[in-house]
Amino acid sequence: MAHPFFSALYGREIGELANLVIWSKKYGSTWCPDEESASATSSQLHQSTDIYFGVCLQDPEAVRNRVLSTRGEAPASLQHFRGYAATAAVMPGLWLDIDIASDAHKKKGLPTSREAALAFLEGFPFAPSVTVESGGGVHLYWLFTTPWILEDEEERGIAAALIRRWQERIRRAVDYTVDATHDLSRVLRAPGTTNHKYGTTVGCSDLEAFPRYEKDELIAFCEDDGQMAMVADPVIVDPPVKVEVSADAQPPTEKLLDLINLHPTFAATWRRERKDLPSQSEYDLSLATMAAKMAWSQEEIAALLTAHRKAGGEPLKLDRPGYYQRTIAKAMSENAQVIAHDRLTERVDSVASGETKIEHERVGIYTDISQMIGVHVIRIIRYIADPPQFRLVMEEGSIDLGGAENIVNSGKFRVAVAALSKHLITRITGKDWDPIAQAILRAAEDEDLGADSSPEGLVAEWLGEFLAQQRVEEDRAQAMVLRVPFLMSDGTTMIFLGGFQQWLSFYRNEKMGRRQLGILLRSAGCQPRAVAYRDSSGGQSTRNVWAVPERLLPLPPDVPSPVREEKKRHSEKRPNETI
Amino acid sequence: MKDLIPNDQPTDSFAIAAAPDGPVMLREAFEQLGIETFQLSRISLPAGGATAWTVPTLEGEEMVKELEVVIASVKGNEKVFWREDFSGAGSPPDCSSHDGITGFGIIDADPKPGTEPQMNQCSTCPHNQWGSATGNGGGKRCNDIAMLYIFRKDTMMPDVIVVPPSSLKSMREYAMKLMQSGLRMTDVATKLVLEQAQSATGIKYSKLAMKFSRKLTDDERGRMGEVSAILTKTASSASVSAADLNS
Repeated sequence: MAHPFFSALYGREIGELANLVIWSKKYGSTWCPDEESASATSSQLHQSTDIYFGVCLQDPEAVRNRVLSTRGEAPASLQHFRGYAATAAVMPGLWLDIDIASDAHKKKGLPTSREAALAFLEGFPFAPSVTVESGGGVHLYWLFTTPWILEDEEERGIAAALIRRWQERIRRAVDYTVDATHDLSRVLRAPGTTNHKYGTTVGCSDLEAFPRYEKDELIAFCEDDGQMAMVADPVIVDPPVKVEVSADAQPPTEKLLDLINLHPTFAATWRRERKDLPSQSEYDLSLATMAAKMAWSQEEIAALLTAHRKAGGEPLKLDRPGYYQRTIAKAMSENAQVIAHDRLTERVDSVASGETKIEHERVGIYTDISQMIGVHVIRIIRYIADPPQFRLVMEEGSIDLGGAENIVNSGKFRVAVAALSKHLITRITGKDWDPIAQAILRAAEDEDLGADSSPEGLVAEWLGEFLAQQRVEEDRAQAMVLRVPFLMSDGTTMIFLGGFQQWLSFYRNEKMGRRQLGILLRSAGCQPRAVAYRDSSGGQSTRNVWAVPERLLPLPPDVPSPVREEKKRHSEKRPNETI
Repeated sequence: MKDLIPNDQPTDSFAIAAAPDGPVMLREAFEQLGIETFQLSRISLPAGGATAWTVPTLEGEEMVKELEVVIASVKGNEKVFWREDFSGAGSPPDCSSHDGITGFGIIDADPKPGTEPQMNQCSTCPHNQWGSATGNGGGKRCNDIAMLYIFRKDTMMPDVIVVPPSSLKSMREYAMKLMQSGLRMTDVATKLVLEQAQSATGIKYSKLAMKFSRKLTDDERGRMGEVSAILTKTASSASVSAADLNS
């Protein structure tokens, strides 16, 4: 089973502070504080569902804190959380997920065989430590000599940059498509478990003897790709700025002199020559932002601010550490976005000019967009329809963005994401938004929806599943209480929008707003109705429901043919009508 | 596939960084032999948009397309001012500043005979304001420049490169990128190349471009840290002439 595999990856690092997350779509996450419980969980569950594990160990307390800070309440359990990039605690090595073309993997550009997928290893200086046969492809692992304990945000950022650049480098060298799987919260199939899509067992190479690599050796290899030294990727966090302020703190002399020497704006700010900064707090923020851009630590920035205040005879505010924390947090956040924005613009320009291909930049674009808007974007899909529809796949789930107008217009994009994810993304307007919109449009991966791309096709499919799972109530009053589908006296099937919306969200991961879902139902031929009924006290009341046309209902096998024929005729008439 | 093969790491180090007594020799040169920084050899950006460096060697001058160097010290806030337009000769500036705050010299457009040089405040000096330039560019009459103290592979004494205003931006951007990576200029080997550029008035000139070559080893960095400290201490007396800015 998975036990020797986990030992190979993590040694003795699995523990209370670094849990191994075993995840399945059916059962959610099991947070394992030791190998035994991880292996036991895999063994127990894999017969009935596909089992994945979080490649990086996760800090459960950090996940709780993050959920608390973003949602305002700590989660009762972590069953519904897989962890985040910002809460990764231990990285065992580098990895790559190669899908191989098959009936289940119809995506264009995939290698046609295992041999073709692994051909690049012949000229590659690092043989994989472990090869996992996932069923639909191959997972390669290059394990560190010892697992990398990610102590802080900086190390997490370097780790994120390393795995991103590692995968980018391989992607540039192969002539097939490799999906982006570089996020530190990535889950992959666990060896020894069953792949239910293929009915095979996930296999694993020999774990008795295999090569391991020094982390620095792999970093040097990635640095050697003509880019600059390894710079930490922005990992999406709400940076917990906690600094101690002291009157005696001194900023780092060499770094300070370098900035004064080489950065005229910094020098002018340090010397208080800026006419555009009316107050000391403006000076504080300006200095902090420039220092943050030069990768100064929080403590160094705090010392810079107090030293500057001291030199200028300004109050040190030593009794208000919160002031410094807020200023530094704002500077770091703004700075990370500025860097991401610049990088994103460069990426879009280089793709537009033909210097590089979108396949090489896509992963970086997702990372930069994530940093800028504050949600972790995993993928952007463009469904080929008329007009094309966009879908945003995030760490927390996926949402439909609708047409391109909801991308080009930053306000609409913000509202769409806020309404569906309950997350208010960073406000970016005007020309600053244009590179992001352009990047989203460029990075979007095309998917052909086929005949089912019509609203009717989609709704028919969803309603079919929905009504097949629900008992259609004949007692209208009872249905009103339970909010389940019911039959009118004329045989019309009625559904509640809210119930259908919840079902879609839970079973299909389709997080749609009521208005959007209403439009979809309407365009598919469903009709909104107000239906009267008697409540439990005998009083008359009405409720808004939707009438489902017969042609959209699931058909039992013994349904008379005219209905089938009508349904068939209708779908032939409007084969590709779109949203 | 070739993309996956690492580039060859340079096996030959910089003489100044490899020699254990390099910093001692440098200190002795300045302190005991009395060498002044203005006596150091200069490598100038060529005029007319040429893209090759002319560097001094024991055998005479040599033309190279690229210089791989370690930048041991940077004076980034230098200012130099000439009352007259450049003559191309080696005339010293009429006023200069080593810190960008205070200059020393004569800034009057038409000074009376016997006028003595004096301290001038750069921030309020009329020649240091945008738009004070006499040409079409609308820039400053007073030139912002930087001075690089560099070591080539085989040199134990530094050369000086005066970075003209037109190349300052690219130099600063390079320095910023290094700083963002937690590196200083003294921590890395840098390739200096020349690119041809053209001014708004159609005049071709050479522009300095700096490229990251490699990170120095810990030993090299340690030694270059000492070298840098020596140069930073002594470099304040370096002088500039009009010939340094003829590009």
